[in-house]
Amino acid sequence: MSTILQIENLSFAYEKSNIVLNDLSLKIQKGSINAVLGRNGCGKSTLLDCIINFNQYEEGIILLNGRNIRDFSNKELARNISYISQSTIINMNFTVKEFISFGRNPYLKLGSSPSKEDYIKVSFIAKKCGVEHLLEKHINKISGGERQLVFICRALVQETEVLIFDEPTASLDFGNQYKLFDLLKLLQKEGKTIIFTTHNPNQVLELDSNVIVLGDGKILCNGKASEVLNATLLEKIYDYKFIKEHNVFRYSKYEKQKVNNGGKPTKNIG
Amino acid sequence: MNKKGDKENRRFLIITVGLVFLLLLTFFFSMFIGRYHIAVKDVFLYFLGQQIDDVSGDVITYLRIPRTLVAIMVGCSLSISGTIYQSVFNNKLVSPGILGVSSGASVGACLAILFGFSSFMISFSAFIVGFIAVFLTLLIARLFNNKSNIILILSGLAVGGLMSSLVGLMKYLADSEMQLAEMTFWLLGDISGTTINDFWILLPIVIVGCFISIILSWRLNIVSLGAKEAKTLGVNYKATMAVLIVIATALTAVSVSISGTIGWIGLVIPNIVRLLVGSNNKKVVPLSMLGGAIFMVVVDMLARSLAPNEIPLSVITGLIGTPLFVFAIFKRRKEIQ
Repeated sequence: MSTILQIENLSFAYEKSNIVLNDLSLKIQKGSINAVLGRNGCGKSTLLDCIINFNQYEEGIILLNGRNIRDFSNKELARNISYISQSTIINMNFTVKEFISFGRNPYLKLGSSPSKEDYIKVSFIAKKCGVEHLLEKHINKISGGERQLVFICRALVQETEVLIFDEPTASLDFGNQYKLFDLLKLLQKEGKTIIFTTHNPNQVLELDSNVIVLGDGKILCNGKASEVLNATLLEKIYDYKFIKEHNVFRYSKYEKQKVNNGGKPTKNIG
Repeated sequence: MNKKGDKENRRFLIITVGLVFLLLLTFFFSMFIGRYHIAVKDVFLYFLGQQIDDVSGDVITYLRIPRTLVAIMVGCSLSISGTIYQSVFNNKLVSPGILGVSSGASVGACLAILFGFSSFMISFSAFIVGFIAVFLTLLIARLFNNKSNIILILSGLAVGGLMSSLVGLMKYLADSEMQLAEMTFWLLGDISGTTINDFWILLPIVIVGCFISIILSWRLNIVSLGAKEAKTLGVNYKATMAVLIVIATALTAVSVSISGTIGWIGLVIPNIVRLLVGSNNKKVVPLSMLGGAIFMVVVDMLARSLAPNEIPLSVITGLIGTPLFVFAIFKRRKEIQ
């Protein structure tokens, strides 16, 4: 596999005293699924914001297919990288069809709007993601899971090589989380490169994707989830004891008893 | 789905043609409605180039045509301005004065009235101070070094508050016989004294404003999703925002400088249009132009015919706008969380 995205010595701080990313270097392979894991505030979303060229970092360079992302125009970058945020607030009553069609914007000239061909693409992608029946509904009148799928449709209509998702499973129920993972695997088979942030190591383990673990502004480890994720690493990230049973991380019984006894450890270590 | 899409486009086309027809109809009605009675037949004859009595001809030429054209321009401008501001700030309850342009223009106008300037200078002063107020809002927002649009809205509120105090001060200093009455009437909106020159001042700005807002109407949808979303969808957010804010401010400033402050239009018309065709600005922008123009012509007709004296425009827009606005909220009550 070749490298599609290369980050070299990236540093970013919102304020000078608060460095979020510190001399971070990373290579993302073409056609891979990459989960970014780390505790709250470790810089997962900040890293994604740098990759989409939203955060103005002062040090480092990000290369997309060997070209500095800062040399891309907004439209060019949007034809290569699509991004889905969890926190988008939509107060206007766009229909799902209109909302998905926004993904065609990088291909539209100033003053034009999506053509019939664009809307055919919208329908095709909506059918592929199983949301065709929602096309005429208002975006604010569908469920959280459906909304997530609609956002993914918009990213797919954008026809980019790289798809970036900020916490895509945050508002999804148990079933929808797995449906989303199936969709991610399908997209990977089609050659797409996916980067997403998550708070759940077990999901990453089940997906067995590549995992990038962030801590203190640096990469603590980067590799196949089943090979690099272990209880010691999770303890280091989350400052809590975990054990691995049947390929699933659980919190340690010892720690559970400690909590139940007001912080005093009982006799056995589980 | 395609059939449904075609049906939607047909609906948009029918509403557009309907509103154009309605605008022509209200324009025609506006020629014979007023305190000076002109027969419908005479209006027909006038537009067919036939001879009618001199007084009726002069009333149509020098009074009714100019003020109706000015009403169309003002209604159109305030509605587009409201549509733009509401989309840019992703908030349907924003009105054209959100960044302080209307309150700034009020200060400019009151200042000119206080110094006894001519009506042209009152308009000019209102336009300039309106722009200065928006510039002040942008300057204050910039000091916070925060990307959020909420900072811009809060700065607009602060500047608006300051401008209202200055208007209060000028009313306090004004001569209560003449100046105070003139200020009060200006602050409530009035186009009774407009001439065809006012229309020629408005026309180029309104044409440019309408043209650019139609060109950017599709992008306006994407801008409403916020800076990050817009950027990842290929929109130059900062540049697009700057153009849209300048356009909306110029349209509001030029309208307010000629007609005085007129409330409700910029808030109500875009919301009513969204009830009819949804939120896609490709449809909302042109229909708001037409809707605003019709609304303003109707308001002006009522202002000059309901009472022996002219009723200030904001009084009528408030009386009609409030129930319409409550209706719009009622229709969308389930979406309000």
